[in-house]
Amino acid sequence: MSWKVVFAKEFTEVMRDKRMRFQIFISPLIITPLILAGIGTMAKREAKESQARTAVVATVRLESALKLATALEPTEKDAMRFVQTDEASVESGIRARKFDAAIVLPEDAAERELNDQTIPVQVRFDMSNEDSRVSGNKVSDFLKLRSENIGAARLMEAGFSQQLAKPIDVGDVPVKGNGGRGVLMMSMMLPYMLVLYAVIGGLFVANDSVAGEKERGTLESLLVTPISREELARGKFAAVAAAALVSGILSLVGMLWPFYVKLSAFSWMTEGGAAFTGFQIASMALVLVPLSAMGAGILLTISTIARNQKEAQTWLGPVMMVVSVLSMMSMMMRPNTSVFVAAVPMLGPALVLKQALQSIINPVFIGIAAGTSVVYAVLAVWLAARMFMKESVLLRT
Amino acid sequence: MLFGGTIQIREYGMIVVDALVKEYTGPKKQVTRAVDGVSFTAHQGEIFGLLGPNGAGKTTVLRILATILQPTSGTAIIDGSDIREDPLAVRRKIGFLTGAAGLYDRLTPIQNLMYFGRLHAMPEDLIKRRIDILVDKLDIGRYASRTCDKLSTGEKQRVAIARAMLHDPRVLYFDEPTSGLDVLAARTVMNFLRECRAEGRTILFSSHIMAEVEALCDRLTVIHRGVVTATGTIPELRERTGATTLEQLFLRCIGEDHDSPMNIPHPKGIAK
Repeated sequence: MSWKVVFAKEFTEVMRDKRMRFQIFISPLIITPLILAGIGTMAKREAKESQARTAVVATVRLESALKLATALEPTEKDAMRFVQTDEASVESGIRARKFDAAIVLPEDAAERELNDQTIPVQVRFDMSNEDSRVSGNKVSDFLKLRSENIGAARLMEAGFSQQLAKPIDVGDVPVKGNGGRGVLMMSMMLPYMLVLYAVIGGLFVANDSVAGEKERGTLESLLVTPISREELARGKFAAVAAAALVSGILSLVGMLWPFYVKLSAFSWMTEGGAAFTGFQIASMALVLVPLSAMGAGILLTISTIARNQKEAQTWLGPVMMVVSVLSMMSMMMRPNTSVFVAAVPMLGPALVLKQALQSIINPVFIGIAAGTSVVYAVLAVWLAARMFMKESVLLRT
Repeated sequence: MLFGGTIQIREYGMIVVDALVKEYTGPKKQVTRAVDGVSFTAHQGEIFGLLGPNGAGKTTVLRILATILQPTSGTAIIDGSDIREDPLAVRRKIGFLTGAAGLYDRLTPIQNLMYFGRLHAMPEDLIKRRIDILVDKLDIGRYASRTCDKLSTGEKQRVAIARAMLHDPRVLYFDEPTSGLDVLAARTVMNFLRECRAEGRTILFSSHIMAEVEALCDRLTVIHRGVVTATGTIPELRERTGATTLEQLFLRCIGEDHDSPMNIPHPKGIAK
């Protein structure tokens, strides 16, 4: 059981290294939730400021429809200011950010108004410009509301109830029990974060444990001790996998604690509450085990092949890219997609996490994702062990 | 005993190396022979030198004898254990020291020593007893609880010596142990070597510095391009080569003193 001696020493070293402590403990537990809080708070403030900002809206031929122009006169609450212009100047003005949006009436607007006909009104804005896009939406909403008001006034003038033009009144009532938009956001973000942490969590430990030993010249001293290479590899693998697993579990805790510790910074995310069952949390934690083992196997293989830590970092670049892309794909995919996707490494487990967060239980999908993850983990560990046993690889300097 | 161990006297060779060969296969399948039929015997209580220029194959021989590398053919018996058949038994009997201390920087000297003691499967109380003896003997106490990244090169080398001696090995390998060390640290290593010999330990000392070999070694073997070119005591080799200086002796032993008729030709006839 010498592997336990190796494991204990590796973990003692991890606990002494600020860089590793930060990556395994602080980053998932504190930094990730803080980033989320920062993003949420910023997005909320931006949205508020955008709405409050007075939009400069160009109008073309609005003055020709006198009654409409009067009815559309914005109030202070509408946060927009109209500027009369000609049609030729609209697009260039929006591109030059002189106007945020424009209301363009047709040439026959006056005639249509006289005949009580519908006047087609265009709202123009620039989709690539955030201010213009928000202003365009604001102007559209403003026009729809005013149009409803004009219609209601006309009905009343004609002696009809204004409810005649409004047969239904739509109201949104979110279903409670599965949590609010925070849970939806978590189901997008968490699978990506968990998969990433399950791999990155062991990165520094893996780099340090073989490539680092080569670099510092400690590997030779280790290899002349009466411990078999299998035991040595086992101890190092256990340390890397444990670091990845701890990091993954802490990233889960890091995403959950804001729901239970009510801080105002997280209110945008947690206001709908969260409703995680023990089964959901257990299944999420369980998916991390094969993921961490696979990540540890991959990282240890790279660390064993590399001559030093710098070379290991270079090799890790493309691997990280693949891991990131596969786990990021889960953000864009529906959780209950084709079962074949379950077999894709990292993407399958990420979608299982997404399903768990959205209270979807698909045993076939979970079975395939878990089964293939174990197979990939075994392959990765086998490869790492094989590399560790090859003297031409292990003693490459 | 200076290092607190016990050495039993053996009459036969403590290190018996028999026709060691090590080949490496390159990326284009080309085979390079780094060690080519190396044989020698080192006896109990002897400092046996392994002399040769850089790249001669000394480190490869030491790594094979330490069971870090597998020989392509040939074998060696270390204190009665075969490196091929029972590498773990060989590792229990040897201590290994190089110029690089090879310590874990984030651990203290004591933690480094505890780790290696556990890897040697020594009982905890024995590890502690041995550490006490070595810390005292090598004057490590002043910095025993400081992490190794804060130690000087000389201090690190003392800890590395303690690590090599922790399990009380009968055989010690030294691979260019003074390279990169200052005069004080190098002297610590040299004194340690002499003390080990006085205790009856067998020492295999690899170096490319002729003066060190002359000062320490009882006998030596010269290796050049993976092949043994000469073996004997310094006086024997002087007589054989007719060399008057150490430099001349070294060059003639590796067949590189081309103007001299006493030049020992390379056994495999490899030209410069």
